[in-house]
Amino acid sequence: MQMLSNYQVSGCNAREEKGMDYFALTIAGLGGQGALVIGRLLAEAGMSKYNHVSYFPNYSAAMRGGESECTIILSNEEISSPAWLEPSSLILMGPAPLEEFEQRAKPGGLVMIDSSLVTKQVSRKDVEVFYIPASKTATELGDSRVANFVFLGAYLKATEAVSLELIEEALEKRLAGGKWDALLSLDKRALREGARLVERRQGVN
Amino acid sequence: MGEKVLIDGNEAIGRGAIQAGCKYFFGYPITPQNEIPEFMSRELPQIGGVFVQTESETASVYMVYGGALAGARVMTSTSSCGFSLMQEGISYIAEAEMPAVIVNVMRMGPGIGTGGQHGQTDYRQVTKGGGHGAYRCIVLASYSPQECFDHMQLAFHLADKYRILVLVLSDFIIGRMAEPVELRTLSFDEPLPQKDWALTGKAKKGGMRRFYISGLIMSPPAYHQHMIEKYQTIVDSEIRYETYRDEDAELLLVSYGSSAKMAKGAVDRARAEGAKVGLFRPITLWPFPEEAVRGAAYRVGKVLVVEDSPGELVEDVKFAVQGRVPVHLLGIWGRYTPRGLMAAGSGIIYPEKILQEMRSLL
Amino acid sequence: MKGEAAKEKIYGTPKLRVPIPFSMFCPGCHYGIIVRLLCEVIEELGIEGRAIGLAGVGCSFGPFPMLIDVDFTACPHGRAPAMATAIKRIHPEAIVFTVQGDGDLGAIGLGCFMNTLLRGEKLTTIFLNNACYGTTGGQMAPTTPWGMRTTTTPKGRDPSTTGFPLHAAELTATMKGVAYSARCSVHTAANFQRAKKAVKMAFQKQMDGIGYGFVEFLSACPPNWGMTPVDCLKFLSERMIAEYPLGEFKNANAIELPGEWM
Repeated sequence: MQMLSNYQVSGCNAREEKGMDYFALTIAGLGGQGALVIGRLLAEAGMSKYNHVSYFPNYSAAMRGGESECTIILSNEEISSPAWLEPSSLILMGPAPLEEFEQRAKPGGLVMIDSSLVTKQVSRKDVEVFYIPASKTATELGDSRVANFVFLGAYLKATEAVSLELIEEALEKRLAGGKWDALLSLDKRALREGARLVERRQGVN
Repeated sequence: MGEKVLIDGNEAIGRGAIQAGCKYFFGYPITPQNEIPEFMSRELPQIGGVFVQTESETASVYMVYGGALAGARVMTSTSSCGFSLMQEGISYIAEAEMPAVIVNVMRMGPGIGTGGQHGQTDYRQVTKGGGHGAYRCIVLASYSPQECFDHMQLAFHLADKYRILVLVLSDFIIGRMAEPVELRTLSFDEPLPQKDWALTGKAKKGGMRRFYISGLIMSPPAYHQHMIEKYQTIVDSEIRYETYRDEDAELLLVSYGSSAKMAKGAVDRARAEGAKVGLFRPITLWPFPEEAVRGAAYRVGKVLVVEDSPGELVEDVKFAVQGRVPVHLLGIWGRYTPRGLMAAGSGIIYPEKILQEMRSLL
Repeated sequence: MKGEAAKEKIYGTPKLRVPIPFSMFCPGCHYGIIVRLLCEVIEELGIEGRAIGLAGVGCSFGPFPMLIDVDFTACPHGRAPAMATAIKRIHPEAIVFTVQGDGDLGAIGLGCFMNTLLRGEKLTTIFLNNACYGTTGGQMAPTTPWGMRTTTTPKGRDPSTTGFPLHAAELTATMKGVAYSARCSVHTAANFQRAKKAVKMAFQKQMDGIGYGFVEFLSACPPNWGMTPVDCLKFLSERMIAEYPLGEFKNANAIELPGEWM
């Protein structure tokens, strides 16, 4: 078995730091939290802005309860690998062990965790950390299940990988037919609220 | 250029099959290929096709056998343990030289309990044959959803061209990962033989009947001589592989399927750091690109095989280089293994690990 | 020529019987009679142009495909119903039938057979019950009657260790998708005629698109039963029929589907 420290790699992809034309995001959560839903949505929306996108979900065989994560890559150049141990951004939706998870953050990268579920602080000093009270915010909006959209809104505000409008467009396409109108409007509010949380923080900074 | 849609490897298999004119699917649920039968059950009835959910992979493979005998383009899909169950039928299909396509979306072996994980532990079974009778199947190893889509068309073409069973090998990662896939129609500029041997009823064949007796071969030497010649023709004309940034390489990665994806990422990053590395990716696992691997390995001088397995592809690579070039292996021990029994993210040899291994060899 | 009666041929070899000048079966075996019966039925129904046969493993394996002049394949053990399913689904206009022995259908292929019935396929099955594994040397089959000696039940079949005989025709009749199920024999001329009627009916159910047709044949196996052909007839009419009564177990003109299912 390999120790995690073996994976510490110094080399960074230059593209990720200079141009904003490459984004690699891993979203981790528990099955049912909707990590994969927003991941796939981000990839779908990304198709209209980037030449290449990839979406790679990784989850256990059972339908519920296991840990699940997905990696989304948006790029203007061809995507070689759909998964990296150390993507440029990490969102931890669930209560998974932070000590382990934060080690996967790339130096200079971005980490988002749910401050209403995880009370610990990220110990890494070389990453930008966002403490997003996603579950709390979602509950206040009316349904704890839209915490995933709070995160997505926050991520997009922080990185501007794609616009919120593109996500909303992709979401509308997916929830077309009128049957899902209530859900659609809740998802959109959660998305906007997530963005506002980051905006407020950026204002303070 | 065809329309581009964001679909995963499993859906790409289904769409590719329909693009190839396959209207008949017989399958049994097993993770991680369930999206294929689910897709087929939705789509096939709309185009006048047939989807049958079988009671077992044994039934699936024999329905494929029956369907091929009936002269239609037919397929099934399964994953590792289900593929094991099909071996007997595969032997008979191969022996009767029936054209058909079977998709194996691999998962980690050996157990049912390891089935929720990625893995590439079926290499020997798909390339050397798990059944009886010294048969061969063409094996196409897809490494992206686009290739899954294209390979299904190629698979049906080759199956009909040579009257042979073609296996399309995907895996957990390819099956689930989504990328924009161009829904293009591949054209193969060669005529295919008529299926005048098919069981369709005598009336459709001008009163001529056909009969087959599985496994009954009057002269085994003559039969095997015929098969040897047929297999040689395929070896001579159907080998496929891809080389990537290997022109001036000092280390050659050899990898297939999803591991080749990760390896490609590692090669890109290593090249960005100035390291001279390249990738050789076999696309046909049988016929194996033996000479091409040998040529590339001799030119580069050092080989690293990457596969999520205890080491199976590495045997063919070692055989190809005949001991004249060092062949290293990054196998299943290269996986990232976080704490937590069900932790996602496990079961993957990430590009970072491959990069680290390459550094130690350069 | 004057005074001589004109000869009219009123009986002969069926047109569909491939003229191989020997029966391919052991002396006293009933399979040759069943081959003839199938040839006659297919001819009389006028379906030889669209009939496709599938034989199972056993004594039906080679001879049935060779002797009956329609499209035919012999299948690996027990899998004929699965292969037949695919052929029928691909060519719905074809009349697809399987010929399977008791080891093939009743043992190794029972799951495959039952699932084919469960799917309600429109097929016809001729089930050959000779109470033993004929080809492999007379071992116990699922249909071996109690007390019967076989090469794997040297003291006679003992229900306490080998269970109970399979009543395939009765079992089949209980399945919803089955339109016709009968058990016949060909050990007398009268039974031959009854059997022919039953097989015709089993094909007719498929031709009319009603459902599965199944006919079980009791059949003698002199070498493995260790009896003369004549003694076999006696054993069949006394012991076999006592265990496996002849007759129709189901004859449905329609299979009712649930009215509202969505």
